[in-house]
Amino acid sequence: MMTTKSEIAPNNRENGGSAGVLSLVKIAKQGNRNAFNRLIDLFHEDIFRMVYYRIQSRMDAEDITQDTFTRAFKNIDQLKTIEHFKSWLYRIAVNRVRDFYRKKKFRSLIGIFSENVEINENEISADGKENPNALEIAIRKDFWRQLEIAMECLSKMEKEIFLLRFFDHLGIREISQTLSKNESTVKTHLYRALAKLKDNSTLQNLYNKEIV
Amino acid sequence: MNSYKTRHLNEEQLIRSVVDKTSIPLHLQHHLSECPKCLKSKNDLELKFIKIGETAKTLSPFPMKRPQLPPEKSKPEKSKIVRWRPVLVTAFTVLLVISGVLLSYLSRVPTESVFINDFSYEIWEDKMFMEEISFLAENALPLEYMEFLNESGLELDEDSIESVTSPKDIQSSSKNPKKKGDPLC
Repeated sequence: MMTTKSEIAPNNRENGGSAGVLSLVKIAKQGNRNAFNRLIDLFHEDIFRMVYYRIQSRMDAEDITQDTFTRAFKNIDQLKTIEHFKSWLYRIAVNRVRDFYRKKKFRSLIGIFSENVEINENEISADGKENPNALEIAIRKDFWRQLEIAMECLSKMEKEIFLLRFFDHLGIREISQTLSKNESTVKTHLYRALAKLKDNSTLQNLYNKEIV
Repeated sequence: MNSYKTRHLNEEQLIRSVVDKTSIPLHLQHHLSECPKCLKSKNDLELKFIKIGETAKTLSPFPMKRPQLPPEKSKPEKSKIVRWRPVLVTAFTVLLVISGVLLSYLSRVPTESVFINDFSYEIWEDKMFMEEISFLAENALPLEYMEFLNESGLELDEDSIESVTSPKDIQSSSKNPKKKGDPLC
């Protein structure tokens, strides 16, 4: 079955709503709390998922999401180009995730360990189901574990760019603004990541499995 | 037609077209848009990664807490703190200066015991000086002449002193003030 370009292309929903977002950013820059609250409504799920993909802990992801928006609110007057608000927000979140891993590494050095993959019994899944059963929990755990194994062959930058492109649905330009790299560097890293993952058996298994 | 059939995209070109379609040469971009086989290969490759991303979204939890904005800060409190700061700094500086001046003054003023000792020594010196003067007044002449005067009953005035004493005696007494009975030598 041939898929159309619109289905394959990165999520461009922000283009349709970009005018509204830009006006909200402009008002929020003047200190309007209501406008910033509206921006939180628009972006907080995306930021939360983006953080969760990297740390696989709901509670920590919520804390980092809160920290991201707090910092964004305090520093929004320093945003020079309002069109770059989304990539600027993602940059803050990427930096908070890096700080989280630095602290985690420090804690592991002094003997305080934390479970990498947390599955809380009180979690609500993305499709709105409360208290997922044991099978769903096992499927989730298995997926994240296999994804982690599949991406072990990637460097940190390759992994980050791959996640931003195919999990967070950012375009090449947005990724370059988020990571403060030029577009050719981003394309090079993405090319290397895809070349390594193309024939990866673990990833192929994930692709072939039917997730219910 | 032959060039169209043989110029399919290789693996590297397919990956590049997934990364960014404009990164492959123009003729390959044109081929990609027209060749069903190459287009399917490219779409299948891209769809694999997109599907994994969609699965991750399905398996990630829903956030239970919505981020909250920090509470608004009241500005007047800040201005109060700012106003008190220079006053405190000035008061502290003045106290330091005053304590430094006091310390330097106290170090110059002699202590009571030293003062008392100096004063009593001065008193003793004055006393000794007065005794010396009174002795000189009572014993102006050499001892022999004093004994003679006492026996003769002469009055002690200038004429009698000159008649009794000789110039030599006067010179020798001035040169050698240390005589018997002189307590100060």
